Formats: sequence, structure tokens, C-alpha cells
Amino acid sequence: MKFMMHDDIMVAGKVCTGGSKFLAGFKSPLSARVYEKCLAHDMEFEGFLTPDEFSIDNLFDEKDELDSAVVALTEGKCDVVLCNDVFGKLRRQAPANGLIYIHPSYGTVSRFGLMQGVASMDQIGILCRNLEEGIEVLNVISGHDVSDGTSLPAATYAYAAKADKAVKVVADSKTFPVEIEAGNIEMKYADCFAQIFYILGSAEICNNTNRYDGVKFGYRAEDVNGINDLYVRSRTESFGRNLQLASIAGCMVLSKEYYDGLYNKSMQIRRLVKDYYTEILDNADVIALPAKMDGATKYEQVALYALAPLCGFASVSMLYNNKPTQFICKRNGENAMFALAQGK
Amino acid sequence: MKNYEVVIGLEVHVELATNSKLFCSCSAKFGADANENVCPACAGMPGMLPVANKNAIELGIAASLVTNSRITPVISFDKKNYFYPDLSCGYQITQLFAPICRDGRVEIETSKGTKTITLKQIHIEEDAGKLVHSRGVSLVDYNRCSVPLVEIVSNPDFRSAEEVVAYLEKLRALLTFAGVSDCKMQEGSMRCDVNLSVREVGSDVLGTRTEMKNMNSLKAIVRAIEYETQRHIDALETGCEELVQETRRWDDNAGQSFSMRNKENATDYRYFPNADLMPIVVDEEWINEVKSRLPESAHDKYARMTKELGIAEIDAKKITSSKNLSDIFDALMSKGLPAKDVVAWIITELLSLDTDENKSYDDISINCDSFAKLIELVNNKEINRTIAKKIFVLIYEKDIDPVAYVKENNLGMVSDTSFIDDAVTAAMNENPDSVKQYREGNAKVVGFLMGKVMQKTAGKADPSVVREILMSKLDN
Repeated sequence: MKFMMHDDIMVAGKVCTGGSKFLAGFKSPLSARVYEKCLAHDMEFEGFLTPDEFSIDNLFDEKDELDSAVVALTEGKCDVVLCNDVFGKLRRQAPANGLIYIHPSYGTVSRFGLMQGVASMDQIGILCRNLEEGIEVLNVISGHDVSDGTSLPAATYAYAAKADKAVKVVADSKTFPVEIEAGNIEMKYADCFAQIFYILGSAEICNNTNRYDGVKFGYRAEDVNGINDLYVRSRTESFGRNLQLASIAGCMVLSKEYYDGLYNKSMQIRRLVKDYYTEILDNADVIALPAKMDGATKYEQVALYALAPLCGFASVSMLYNNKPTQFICKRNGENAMFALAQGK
Repeated sequence: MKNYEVVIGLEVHVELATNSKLFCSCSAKFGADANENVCPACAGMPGMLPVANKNAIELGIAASLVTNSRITPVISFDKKNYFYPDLSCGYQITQLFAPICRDGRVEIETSKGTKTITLKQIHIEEDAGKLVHSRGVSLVDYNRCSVPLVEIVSNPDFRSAEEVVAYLEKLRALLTFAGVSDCKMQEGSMRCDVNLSVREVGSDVLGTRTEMKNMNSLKAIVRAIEYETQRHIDALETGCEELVQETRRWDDNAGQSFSMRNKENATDYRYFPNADLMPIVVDEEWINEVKSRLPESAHDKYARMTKELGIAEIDAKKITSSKNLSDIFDALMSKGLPAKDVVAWIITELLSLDTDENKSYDDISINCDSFAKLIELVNNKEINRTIAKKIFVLIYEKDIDPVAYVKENNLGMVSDTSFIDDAVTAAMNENPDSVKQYREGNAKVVGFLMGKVMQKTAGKADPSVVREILMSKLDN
């Protein structure tokens, strides 16, 4: 199988930019675990694709250009692309372009060698043309990694599209209509998904990109006047607009003044969300959600993609009954979800 | 003048004695070439993830145990954000919300008796690198970056420099004996931030506090406390300057503290939980396991030395004041030597070898195998004490093998009575006046005659045999 990767998933000795001017020409000192695993399973690496800067999507504007991964797959350059999709760009664009995106459960696929964006939600996923190939690659890249402190203990996983019994699907048909027969649930907290997603996301992006300071590697402003000028100019001259805005927002939500009201409150809501939806998935196999909402702005649609990363759930985003649909399950529920997705 | 008292709280940073760093497998050893112990993780490269060093957590548990602290059942790590070139990631991984322990107690002894210092908390964190400034450029050495530390935060319980010194010495004893750290202030593995304020005696309101960071010698700490206390009192008494809460730099050469008037006091570190590290459960079983592996404490060793081995309290205290001396003591004892000989050799010989006041007992280094062999040679009457002392210096300075040295230089003690008999007779014949004086009642001349006999035997005769033969001849 031929695979490509966004270049925030690193390969030793190769230039990996993470889509950032800051890392233009940056040669990686190490290879991501997923890359090594793919090679060990005789997959052929066809090269890198450029992601949005550190895969943070165009968080702060309504631009929605086709992702390089979607383009590469539709042009037939490879069979699958590995990428990190926290904010939903690929889960939104995959079904619209007849592709499938598999977002694995948090902790099942090693993040080692993936440039950090939102550490608590970063998740290497698989953009593919058909589900069988996607599942095959998921089996290759998942499993415990000692180099990732959040990696779950299972050494390997045996993913397959198979269900022992009828797959129980639930949905909030009133607010989030889907083309599938489903039991009814209320999508509680969905009205604040986007807010806590932005607050937590920007905080972590801000922190994880502190390392890009112009001192050790990467872009370095010239003719600087002292260390503060080096920091400010190196970052200002090399960071894109979305990263700059995320850094400023993240800095604010973590400040003494706003920590309790914004960051900590969001963490508390995240806990409530996780508890509530975990309980729903204790009683059902899959939550179905639209993968796109007609007439909604990009920001309004963010709520659709927040649930899986906020809770560490797995998801499949695809066309189902010709409608862009997402199926979400919790860890160890993937096989039933795949069986459901395979049905169409 | 009103009656003032000084109120001091301490933050003590202690580097943990692990082989590797806190979140990567680089060596944590001191003294390597610049940037020798650096990998992509501690250099802040993207894509690397921290993995907690179990040994560091266990040393944190040990530090909690020896300071009688309450260990937190589930600990976690947080990120502290600030930009500085020696901090490779732009954030430091530390513990704010769930530190390894809280509410510790350390008992100290001062001239006024015993006192309990209470601890707010101890947390585990990574150290930063080091900046080297030379000829207009600044270079960064990341060797120390991510070396594990514990920060021991006391409550403002200190009322004098004497108490501070007693506490730091006690901490050093507790932590070195437990194997938590080597606590070498001169190498920076023990550093101290002093928070100080002054108030009228009897007041329960704290005065304006100033902080002096990274103090790394006891002498400097005492001088800084004395200076800063006086500065505060002068300010309060005369109004000559306004006291502001700030960080000050202690200049030990100038004997003064200086305001650092930067924005540091206003820094918002934006602490938040580290999502790369899962919370760690520290359960009873783990704590007990660490406890069972703790080496003998200075306190227990002192008790054993005085009660079981019959060693004088003053000597036991001296030896247990230093982990290094105690280790030397244990090494000699393990060779089966009598305790009183071991103590005598350590206290009277070893400690008088190097009296450089900048060196502490922890800096003494000697080959204990050779040291033990030397004591055996004396105890077996193979060499006499005068020669033994000379060889001891050679062991200390040049690490010679005493057994081989005695053989090569033919220094073995002579107990051959006929040989000594001849030497005694010759010495008496050559000094008839001294013999006469003795026989007239002047016992002091025995020493002089002994010396003459030893000279004739090139210092190798067994002094007790010499004395016996000499006395029997003189008294006849």
C-alpha cells in the first residue's frame, strides 16, 4: 500500500516543516513511530504533503481550502494519507470529496514524532478511499509505545468491521439530523462545544509552540535588538495569522485573570461532556452526527467535530446514504462502528 | 529603636541523584562537556514526548518520607510557561496542583534548643539549562535541562540565620543519607531561595518580603540574611528607602543585595496541567516499597554508633554529619576492623589531612581498601604508628598500596629482641649522663633514650618492645 503523510509527522533526515515558515528547511532528528510501523509493514512512502500550520486548520477565519491530503488522494497519488485532524478539517472535507477519515481513539496510536499542536487531542488519523484499507492501516499504526506517556497499554489491536449483534445507533435527530435509523438522545452541552474546544485548543497550541523561539533551531530574525526582540520578531515574522491568533488567545485563557473563568471552566465542562457521552456509549454502540451542516458557518460546524477529540473517542467520517455522516464510538467500540460504516 | 524580628521562608532546590534526566534517557551527570548530554527531547525539538523517570518519582517519595510529609495519592505534572534561552521548550514541567507531598516537618537544633520547621510542600520539576556569556556572545548549554529536582518549600518559620543554616544542614543530612541527592552546594545540586521580611516583635502581620534567588553557599546565605535584615530595619526605622516586594540579587563580593528591577515579579507563568503526562498513583504499596529500601538515616546510624558500638557521642556526631564520612566509616567497618580503631583513624588522622576551609567532609576522597589495609598493618604490629601516618598521607595523596609500599621500602616493624637489645645497649653506652640522671630519679629522660633507640633502628622497631627492654636494663 502506498502512503503519504502531512509533514508534521516527522521522518529522520528529511525536511519537515509542519506547514510553518518557522521550520522551513528543518531536518528532523527522528522518525515518527507511525512512519516506522508503516515501513515495517512494507508500506511504501510516497512523500510528504504540507498541512495547515501545525494542523490547526484556519481556526480564526472562514477560509476552507481543500486540504493537501484530500487533493493527493483524489488525484490518486497514494492509497492513504496519515494526518492529524483536531479541529475537523479532514472530517469535514473527506465525505464531501467521497473519501473516508478514520479518527482513532486517543492513546491507541502513538503521537511520538508528531509535531505537537493540541497535546490532549492530537491524534494521527487515516484519510482513505475505502474502509478496508483504512482499517488495515489502523491495525499497522496502533499499539503501545513507551515513548508516548499517554499511549495505552495494549501492544496491538485487532480492528475489523465486525459486530456480534445488531449495532445500536443513537442520534439527536432534532438538532443534528442524520440519514440513519437511530435511538434518540439529547446532544447535551453541544452549544458550548465550540467555545471549550477553542479555549482548550488555543491554550495548548500557545504552549506547545513556545519552543519555536528562534534560539535553537528554525527561523531566526536578523539584526535583533536583545533577546526579547529575537523572540518577538522570530515568531511574528514566521508564524501564520491563525497560529498568531491562537497563541494570543491561548496566552489569554491561561493568564491569572482568565484561568478560572475560561480555561479551568472549560476543563470542568470537558469532564461533564466526557462523563455524559461515555454513559451514552455505555448504552449504545455509536453516536451518529452529520459531518457537515448546510447553511452553517465553519465556526458553527466546529461543534460537530469537537466531541471525539474532547472525549478521546474514535470516529469515522464518510458519506452514508449519500449524506456526510460521522459515527462516533468509544475505545473498544471501533469494530461495531466499522461494521455499521461498512454496511453502506 | 523598636524590637524587630526577621521572618524567613526558604525554597530549596535539590537535584535528584538519578542516572538519567526527568523526562528522557540522557545522562543527568554533572560536569560533562557543553551539550554532551542532550537529545531531541531535552533540546525542545518538536515531536518528542516526555516520559516520566520512575526513579525520580521514587526519590521524590523518599524526600517526602524523610521530611515526614503527607504524600499525595495521585500526583500530576503541570507546565509553567516563560521564555528564557536556557529553557528549551519555552515551558518548564513542574507540579503545581498535585505535588508529591505537603505538610512536612523537619526538626532542627540550634543554640536555643530544638525547633520544628514546617514545610508547605515538595514538588518534582525539571531543571533549566545554563547560559555562558563570553566576549559579547551568549551560549546555551542544555546539559542540565530536564535534570530532575525537588523544590522543598518551607513555611516562613525561620527567625534567624542560625536556624536557616541548621535547617539546610539537616536537610542535607536527611537527603544525602536517603540517597535522594548529593546536595553539593558548590556544584549547584542544592540551591536556596531566601524569602525575607522584618516585623516588630509581637506583630502577627508579615512585613514586605524580598526574595534572593539561587544562593549556593551557607556563608553567603548567612551574610545575605544579615545584610538584608539590617536593610529592612533601616528602611523601617529611618524611612530612607521604601521596601517593595521584589527579587534581589545577592553579590557576595560586594557584600550587598541589589534590586533586579526587571519585570520578573510581574511574570504570569500561566500554569496549566501537562496533557502529555498521565497522573501517577502513589499508593501505600509503592510508598512502603520505597521505605523498605531507604538506607540507614543519620539519626539511626548515630544511635547505632553510640549505643551498640560504644563510640563517643562527639565522634559519632562528627561522622554522621556527612554522608561521605559515614560511607568511609561503613566501608572500614565492613573489613571487620574494631570500631574504636576506625573512629580514631577517621577523626584524628583523616580529618586532619586536609584543612582547606573551602572543603567539606563531603569532599574527602580516599581509597577505603588501602585505608583498611593500613589499619590492619598497624593492628597486626607489622608497622608502627609513626610509619603508618606517613604511609597514610601517601594513600590519601597518591593512592599507593600500603602492603606493597611497606615491602618495597623495607618498613616492616622489627620485633627481633636481640637486634633491639643491641640498639638499647648502644644507646645507653653513648648517653651515660642520661642513664645516670634516670637512676637518680629523673624519669623524663626515658623518652630521650627511646628516641635514640628508634633512630638506631631507622624507626622500624616496635616501640613497646623497645620500652620493655630499655626499662629492664635501666632498672637493673
